[in-house]
Amino acid sequence: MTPTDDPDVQLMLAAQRDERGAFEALFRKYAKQLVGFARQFVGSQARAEELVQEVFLQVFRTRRNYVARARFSTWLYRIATNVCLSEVRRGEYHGRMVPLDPPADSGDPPSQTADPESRTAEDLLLSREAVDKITSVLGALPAQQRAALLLARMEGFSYEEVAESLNCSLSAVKSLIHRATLTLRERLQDVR
Amino acid sequence: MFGSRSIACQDARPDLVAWVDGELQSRSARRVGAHVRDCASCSREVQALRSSIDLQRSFLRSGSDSVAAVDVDALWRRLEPRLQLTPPESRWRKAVAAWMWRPALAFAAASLALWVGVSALGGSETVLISLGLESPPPALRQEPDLFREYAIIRQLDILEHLDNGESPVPDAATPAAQQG
Repeated sequence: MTPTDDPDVQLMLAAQRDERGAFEALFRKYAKQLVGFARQFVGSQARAEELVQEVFLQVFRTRRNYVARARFSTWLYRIATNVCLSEVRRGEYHGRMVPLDPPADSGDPPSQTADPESRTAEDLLLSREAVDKITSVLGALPAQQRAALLLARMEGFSYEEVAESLNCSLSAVKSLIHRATLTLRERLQDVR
Repeated sequence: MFGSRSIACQDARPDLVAWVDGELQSRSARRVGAHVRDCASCSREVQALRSSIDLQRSFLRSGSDSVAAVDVDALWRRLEPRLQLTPPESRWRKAVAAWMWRPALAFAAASLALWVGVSALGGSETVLISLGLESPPPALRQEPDLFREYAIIRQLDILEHLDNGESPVPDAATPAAQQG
């Protein structure tokens, strides 16, 4: 699949030609998942929503520089990752556990199984306590490791796409994800 | 089989996460796969990694689901007025901004080189004379060929007098020497 086969690339190229409807369509498609992504960095949903606005302002401002080299989401998450990492580097979140806001629908969050053959959905239903523990461990990861892990495991990016989004080499991504995974495995041994 | 020759645990371990994620190139994947089949320890490690990765995916994707309350319409209404105030960043302006630091760096490097040169030659006076920015002393005006050795002779002269604990000979070019 070439980049131009990606319908979002077509929308972005239209946005580049100042078609406001195309830009709005991209916003509506990605806003929610970007809020979820940003929330893993800053904890608060309100702050995550502000960051997402900042991301789309940057997309809008730099639309003339966009070149369709890969999937649109790779470029979008590159901007989003930079915005989130800048926010984290400001120091407000450094070394601090960032508990996530409780989900809006209250109660335990729903779970999905990535590998249906190995576990059932019930097996993977996480308690609130488990969610807090994972949040805490995830929040303590170095920001680059966290970003790589989120892109790969949350957004389903390939390592190559993660490398493109983080502007680093494939081997660096492999190392980041490897270390992050081992840290999580070690510190979450008691979480089912 | 080509590419599936067995490898040691220490070579396989750094690749196990990428292997579980299906992100290894086919040749490496075959080698790691063959090792995992033959090695009970790495096989257990893979089981543990799979379990942990499933947990991570489950948690992270459930986190995505829990942002169902995001009011995208409200977010768009907040963003839209800000777009009116945001001019597009033009390519040439970005390029100019990206290159602006280079002339400044070149100027700084040239200044540093000049300063180092001046220091190495023992002072600004001889350099300024050689650059034509200052008039040479009267003696040199009469014998311009002497100027080539002037800086070296002057340095040797200063060093000789320092060794003897004496004051250097007054410079012929200084106003005091000219007055004397």
